[in-house]
Amino acid sequence: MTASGPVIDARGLRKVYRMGEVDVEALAGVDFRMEQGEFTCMMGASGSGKSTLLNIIGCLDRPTSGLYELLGRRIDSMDDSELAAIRNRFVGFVFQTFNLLARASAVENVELPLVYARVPGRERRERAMEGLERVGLADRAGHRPNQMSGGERQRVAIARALVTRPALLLADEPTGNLDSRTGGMILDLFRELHEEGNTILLVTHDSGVASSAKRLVRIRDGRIESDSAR
Amino acid sequence: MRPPEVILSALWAMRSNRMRTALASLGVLIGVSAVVSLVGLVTGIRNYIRDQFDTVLGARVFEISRYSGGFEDLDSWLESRRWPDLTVDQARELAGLMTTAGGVTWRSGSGGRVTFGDRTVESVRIRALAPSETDVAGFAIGTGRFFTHAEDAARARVCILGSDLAETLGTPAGLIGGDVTVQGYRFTVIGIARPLGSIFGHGLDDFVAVPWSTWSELLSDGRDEVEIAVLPREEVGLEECREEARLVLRRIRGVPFQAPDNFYITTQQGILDSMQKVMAGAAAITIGIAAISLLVGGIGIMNIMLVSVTERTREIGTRRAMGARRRDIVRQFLAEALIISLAGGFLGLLVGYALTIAAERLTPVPAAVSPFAAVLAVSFSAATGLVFGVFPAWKAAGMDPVEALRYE
Repeated sequence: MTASGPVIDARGLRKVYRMGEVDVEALAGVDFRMEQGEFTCMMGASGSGKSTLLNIIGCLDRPTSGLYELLGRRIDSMDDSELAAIRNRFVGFVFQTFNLLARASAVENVELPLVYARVPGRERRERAMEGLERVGLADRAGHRPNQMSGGERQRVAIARALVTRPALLLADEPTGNLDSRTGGMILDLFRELHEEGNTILLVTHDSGVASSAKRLVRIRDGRIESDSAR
Repeated sequence: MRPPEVILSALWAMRSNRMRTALASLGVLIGVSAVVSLVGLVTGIRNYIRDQFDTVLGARVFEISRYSGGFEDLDSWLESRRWPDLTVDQARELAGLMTTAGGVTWRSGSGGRVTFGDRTVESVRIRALAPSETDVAGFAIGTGRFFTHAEDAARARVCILGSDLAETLGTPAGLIGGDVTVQGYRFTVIGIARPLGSIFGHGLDDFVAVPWSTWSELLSDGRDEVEIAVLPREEVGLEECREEARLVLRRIRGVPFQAPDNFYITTQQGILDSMQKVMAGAAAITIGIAAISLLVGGIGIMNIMLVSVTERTREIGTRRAMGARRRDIVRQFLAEALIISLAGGFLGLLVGYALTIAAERLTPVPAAVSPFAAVLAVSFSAATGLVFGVFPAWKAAGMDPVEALRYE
């Protein structure tokens, strides 16, 4: 992790999908920067391009054109296994549908990124347990996802995203599948994580959630419509 | 991911789908058990043949006959029908001319009824043998003695009984020196042969042996056809003796220069070789069956793996987001295919061994557990898993992580 410089530095990002005969421009030239320790909310209707942007920022996808640097590293020209390594080391994902492995216990789920980081078994287990403790689920380590509530599952997923101590935490509608009370608890957790120094980019539909953020970015038709930081 | 973790993760995925995993490996299990038991059968029969030849025939004795000891094609069989008979005169001449032979004898035979006192045995093999100092008769004497040249020359009515026949008729003590009736002629029993056992389940000890000249006079159907057995002198090699016999017999039978032989010389090795040819054919069929059953088993595994890949699209997307490279995904699914097929292969090996042992114990079919089959089973099932696991694994790894995460 570099001590200075932006975490995200994207310029002129374009993403074009070919749908049959027509080209669909999901991103039409996006400039976006995020500094270390920021907590940014991103809003936009479905089809606005926010998911595409999030995927590129999370190194799951590559832009058609444009320049993207994550922690000063050029991402747009990396190959598949380099991207995998970047995701593993620097990015933590939290999904709307949790995406926990159904057959694995909570602690095994949290260990997953460390498996691909080739962390030895014992250290892996220790770090995963620390992660579960951080989200208050140490007593649920042996439970499987289907034995836990939605809120607990999302906390396991957050522990999993944090276990590699990533430079960037990406959350794609993390409260979308939760009731408002549980969702509120998850948001409180994100705020705490932010206070602890994590850099967080959170995508949401909920304007109530968005209003509490320090910085709000609105996406529309593949462009940044407004950015409270500007 | 490290290799042990790949295996653990594969086992863990299979644990949750036990029924499906079991069914997927069933094809390989059946295939491998079929291969193992067939290999056991082929091995057993091969050993059995080898043992039979070792015990029954003298290793160095070779036979000359108008009939091939092996398996010939129809044309050469028809050709051999036209060859002149191999006569006792030719045999006598051969015996007189050969320098490398330690013993030359000739034999013939027919079938008939043997009676002793009030006991009668039908369809006994009557073996007509020339007297011989050396052991080229095809059996050894247990009690009593062999017939002499004088007895043969005098067409003496003496005989030697096979051990089974002797047992059916009476006791050795009661038989030796006694008279049996062969096809209505009275013969004095002078000896009882040592048991030979059986070959391919066929008893060899129900014969009566008589001097060739006596047989020719009383029991032959008039044809003078014989089979010649030659034992090389101890210091002479089998090949040298055999070649001499061939050349001398060609001269005796007036075979023109460069014309092919009009007789067959069969060595024990020759018989073994032609048996081995048959066994090699059986082995080829076995391998064919193996290939087909493992193909079917492999397709079963591929099918299950493809279903599994589709079902676990989200999991693949999640793993990719957490930093799994394409090759990690390939390894994961290949390991699963490999473990399924190896499990099938291992169980198939056990089932195949059980079938082999059962066949050996419960049926007259000789079967032998072969360590070669184990190597075969493991390598075949591993190969099946790899070959048929590659495509599903490749498909899983080729998924776009974004699409995979969005998959419903």
